[in-house]
Amino acid sequence: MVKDDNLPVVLCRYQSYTDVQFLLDEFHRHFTVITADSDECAKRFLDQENLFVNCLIVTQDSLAVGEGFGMLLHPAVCGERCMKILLYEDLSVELVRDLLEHQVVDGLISRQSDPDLLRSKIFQYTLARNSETPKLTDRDAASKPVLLVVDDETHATKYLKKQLEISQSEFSVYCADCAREALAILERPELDVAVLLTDQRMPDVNGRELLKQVRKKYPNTVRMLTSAYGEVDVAVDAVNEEGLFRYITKPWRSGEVIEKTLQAIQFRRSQMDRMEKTLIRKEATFLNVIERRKNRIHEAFERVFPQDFSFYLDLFFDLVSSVEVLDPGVSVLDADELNEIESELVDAFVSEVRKQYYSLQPIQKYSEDITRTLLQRLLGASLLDFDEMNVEYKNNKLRISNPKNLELNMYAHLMGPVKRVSSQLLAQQASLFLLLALWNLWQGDVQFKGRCQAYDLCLIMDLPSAKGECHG
Amino acid sequence: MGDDGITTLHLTVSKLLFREALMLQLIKLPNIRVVGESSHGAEALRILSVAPAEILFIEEELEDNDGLTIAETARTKFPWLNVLLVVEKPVRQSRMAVYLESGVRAVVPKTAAMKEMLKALTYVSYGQTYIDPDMHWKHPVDSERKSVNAMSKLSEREQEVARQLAYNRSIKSIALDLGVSQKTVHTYKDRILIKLEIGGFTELLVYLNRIRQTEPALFRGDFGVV
Repeated sequence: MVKDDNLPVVLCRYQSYTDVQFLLDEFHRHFTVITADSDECAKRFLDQENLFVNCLIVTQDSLAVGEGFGMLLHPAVCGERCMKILLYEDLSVELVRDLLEHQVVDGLISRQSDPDLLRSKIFQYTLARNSETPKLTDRDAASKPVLLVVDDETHATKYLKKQLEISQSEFSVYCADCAREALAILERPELDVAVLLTDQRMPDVNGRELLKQVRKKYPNTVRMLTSAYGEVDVAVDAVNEEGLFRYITKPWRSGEVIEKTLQAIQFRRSQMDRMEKTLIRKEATFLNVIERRKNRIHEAFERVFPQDFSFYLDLFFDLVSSVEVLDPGVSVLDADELNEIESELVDAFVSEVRKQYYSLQPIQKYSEDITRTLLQRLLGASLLDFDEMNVEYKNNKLRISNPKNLELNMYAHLMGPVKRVSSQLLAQQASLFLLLALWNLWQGDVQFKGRCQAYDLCLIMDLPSAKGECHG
Repeated sequence: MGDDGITTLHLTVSKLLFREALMLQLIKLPNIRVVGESSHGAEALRILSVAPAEILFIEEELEDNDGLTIAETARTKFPWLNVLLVVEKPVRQSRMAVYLESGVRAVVPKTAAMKEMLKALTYVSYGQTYIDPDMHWKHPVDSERKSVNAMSKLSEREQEVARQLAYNRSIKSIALDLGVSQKTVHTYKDRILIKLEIGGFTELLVYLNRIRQTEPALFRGDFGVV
């Protein structure tokens, strides 16, 4: 991961000086740009052990004079950590197909396109590669993977299906004659659609649109595109936007389809393995983060307050943990960012509790005003008012609860991932903590039931005197 | 983007004044349709579930909940949602990584110029990611300075019209003053718009007024000062 003080390194292998001139002009503030006018020179940079190249840009004319894809296959730029971009002048479908075949590019950018596009792409890749990785699903790994072929020419797909099923037993084949039918098949829970092969030209929804939808809804399905027409724009967009895995030209040869499908299945398997590892690591790191955060809050409370709050803190931690919130991301666990957020979070939480606590005197006996003040702040997250709560006084018992059909919102809490120290979050969490602590102190009963980004709250207290009647 | 080439947008900004200023810009965009607006995060989620949008334009600092958390929550329900986040202050690279991972497509600091924001919005409406070239050190003043030099691109007559416009004078009175027809003044104005790369008449007035304040020397004219 790139840190603020060291800019991403971009290596550009160029042939004509104008290409590199434009890169230097546009990007010198954002990246460390190194340039090489020959393969030998570029390789010397790549061979250096202490230099890590985040992005390799190869111009099309240098690809032509050099040793083909040699540069793009250098071990230093293979793998997940380096982004490879081809800066092209005039692209053919065959070249796109070959580039995909060798898995050598992550992006195809035209020389004529806006430099902001290229810059944003490099930044996105170097800063947040993880955001685009597929999700893990509970699908039964034992079932045979499925290749889904989408084309409106049903006789062609029928014939291909027959051919593929005779010649191999690694995967099964399903066909759809339009995008709608394809999405219906993807929806079927018993099928593990590993690979999607779609034609570009179809009535209604075209292939690219289908790829786009599949990428968003089923990121685990590897996507391949096929076409009889050499529509290079479609292929380029599919590579850049939809993460196209392979491009197959028509007419189909079953051998080629089998080979590419098997490569896709293999690719998916390695992607899933990697995901699983990241996930396990992420969960472990996250548990550590929460444990550390708890300890730091305890320590800070001991420093700041003369009273012992540790019992109430643990109670508070337990209750909010029952509220299900968003998954932690990977980059928020990145050491630098984390340290910064964590210390700010702990300090801000403690000072917020302190501020609220000292504005609430006296606290020795039950106070309606204090309860009202704290609840009002807590209800802010749900855009509710204290008057909208159910308040009952019956048989010397006071009962305050949220309306039956209305859960209270809690989109984030201190025992979940915190990506930003937001003043609203802190104020609401501090109020909840104080409410719990004070009601416990006043011998009241707090019932808290965590739900998904929400909770039910019920406060009960015995009030034998006439005091409670004012709530009536 | 929908079949008709129009992208739907939900706008969540807590301050009404800021939201209305944005609305004025957004309604001028031919390929964007605002299908919902809200001032709170919880409200935004409620409205989005009945009036879905493709873009969520949301402020980070809201009064009820954290805007980033709301955006992420919205994305778990509507995974196709592209988020444009307006932040309080410019962000650093490592911070940017957190945003991108949360599914944010573009981050615009409140200090950015309107033009910058519209550019980011264009990228987002095409499903692209946009990262501001001056990620960590942007000041609106810089872009104004640059544009002061742009004044020299104008012809003498155009400069004259620009100068008068900067004093909020009407096209009609400028025409009288210069002894030409109103149509001619409109032609000069249109040429100024093109040369200065400014989208509309209102923006031009704001822009010229600002230069008048910051660089009075450029505007020493022989007509009466208001």
